[in-house]
Amino acid sequence: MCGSASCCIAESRLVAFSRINGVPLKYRFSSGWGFVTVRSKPGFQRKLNNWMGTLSLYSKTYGGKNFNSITWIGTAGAFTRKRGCHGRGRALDLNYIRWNNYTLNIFRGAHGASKRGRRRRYLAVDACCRQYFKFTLDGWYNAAHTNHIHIDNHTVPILNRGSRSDTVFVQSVCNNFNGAGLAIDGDWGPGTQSAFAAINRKWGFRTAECNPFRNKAHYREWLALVMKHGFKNAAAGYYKSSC
Amino acid sequence: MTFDGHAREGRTKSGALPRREFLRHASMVAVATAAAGTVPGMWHAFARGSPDVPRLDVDGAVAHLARTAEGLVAAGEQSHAPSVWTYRLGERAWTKTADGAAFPSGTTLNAVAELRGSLYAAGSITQVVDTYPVVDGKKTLEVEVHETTPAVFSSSDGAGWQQVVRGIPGSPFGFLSAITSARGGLLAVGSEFLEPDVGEPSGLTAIRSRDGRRWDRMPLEGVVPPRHGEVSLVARDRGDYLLGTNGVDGAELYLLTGSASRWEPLPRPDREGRVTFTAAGPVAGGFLLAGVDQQARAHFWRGGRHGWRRVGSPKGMSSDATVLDFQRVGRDLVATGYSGTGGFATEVEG
Repeated sequence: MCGSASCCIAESRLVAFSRINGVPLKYRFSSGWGFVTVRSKPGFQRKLNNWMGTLSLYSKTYGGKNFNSITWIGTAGAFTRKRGCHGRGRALDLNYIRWNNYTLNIFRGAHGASKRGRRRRYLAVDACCRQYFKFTLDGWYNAAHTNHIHIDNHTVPILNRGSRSDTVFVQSVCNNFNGAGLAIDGDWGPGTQSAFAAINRKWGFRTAECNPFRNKAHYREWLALVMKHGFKNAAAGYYKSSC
Repeated sequence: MTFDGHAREGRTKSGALPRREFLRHASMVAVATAAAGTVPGMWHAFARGSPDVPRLDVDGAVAHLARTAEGLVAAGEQSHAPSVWTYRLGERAWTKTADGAAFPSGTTLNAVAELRGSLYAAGSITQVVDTYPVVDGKKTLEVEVHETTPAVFSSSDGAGWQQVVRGIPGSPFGFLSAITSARGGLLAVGSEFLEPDVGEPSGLTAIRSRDGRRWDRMPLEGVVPPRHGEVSLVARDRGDYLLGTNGVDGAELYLLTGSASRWEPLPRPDREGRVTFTAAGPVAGGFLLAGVDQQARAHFWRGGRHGWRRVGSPKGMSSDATVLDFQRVGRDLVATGYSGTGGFATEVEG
């Protein structure tokens, strides 16, 4: 972890880009949304490109005709001169996704939308982020993230019961896809464990064979279930796990 | 070291002082004698002449400076290890007084201050608190969980350091980015994390102490916590304190004056709002403020509560330098920071 005064020295090794896998980036200026160029480390940019490819594929495949193509995405920033992953060019803040006929306005708090379908689409995007980026900090994480999703590639993407970031996400998934009725408190207690087991039974994710806490491929499969159900706007069990 | 000691060390091998050194020491002797040999008198003596603080170059970054009775103390990192350097008035070089061996493993030093003859360095300690295996295809990775906690260390001589703050109640994870002597005590500010391994700050944190031993949390009234942000600078000009924050949304400035407890927002000197403020130091009529824009260009302003005026780069500053601190020494300023070639502390014309 970078906590050092010199963490921003490697600025010369950053790459500037205004598109992620061909999708334009926009920034919310005081006058409105406008195209923007951001900077990051090359490795992080490659991950962003892969992430965009997966997001496009899943949204088009499971979301239907409104999700045929991603027109542009909104960002609140990537590299900035400070400690942490933003200061190392390994983070981006995501606040808007515009498909051909659907808008996910994260900036306006889509995670807390009154319509369940919108919350499910938010969780589908959230899950896609988690396939590539640990940490992913979303609207349930804390008040600072109600208007954007922070993504960074600080460490290996894997599910962790001890992580508040992961726990609020799992609790939200259980509530929005399986009616768990959990308090989203970031504490993986018996209630969360029980709800996690229930949703896994529902969509056929066999935890006896598949371990999302210790196996990257198994975690990706679990997240893929969230993406499929989220873009389809379907309750848990509409699709079955291959794991 | 005694005052006479400084004078002796200033002599050449033949025992003769160069003319400039001779005049400078003569001036010091006169004023210091007039001040009855008190330590402030020594600084007073230097204020009348140019102290000619030698340049310090390191493989790393010199984060911050503190002025002491005997000279200057700098904190930062060299070869990825926490380091402290001291400069005693009149000497010709800095001395490295502490390295990684003086601090717990994983220590980062971001700032240093002096209070009643003791030094206080603020920063953080990052440690591996857990490991677990993760299967990644045919490989098994050993994933480490890191925990970063705020830390303050104290020292009487710059060489031996004892930890006096280990985490902050209510904010166990985070780091301290600035420390300054303030209102008869110490004020340290930083950022907090919500959990181990997440290195994006969730808020600001501040602690204060009257004696350097007992520390209490204090609110930063009036300061709007920046998104994923931190305090990038705290500078002092007599009774005024300038605080800069930096987040993904941009940077802000605040001023605390007199006996007020609330920080008041200051207008930004740059209209575009794309500059990160990295350092400030006292100059005639307010502060000298340093910033860096998105294209890594350095910018400087003078001013404070009555507004800002853009000025050129201080003489003696390399064009690719990022300034992390200014400290006034006599008529000049000493700037610290880093450039393409490493960290530095160097005298500049303020």
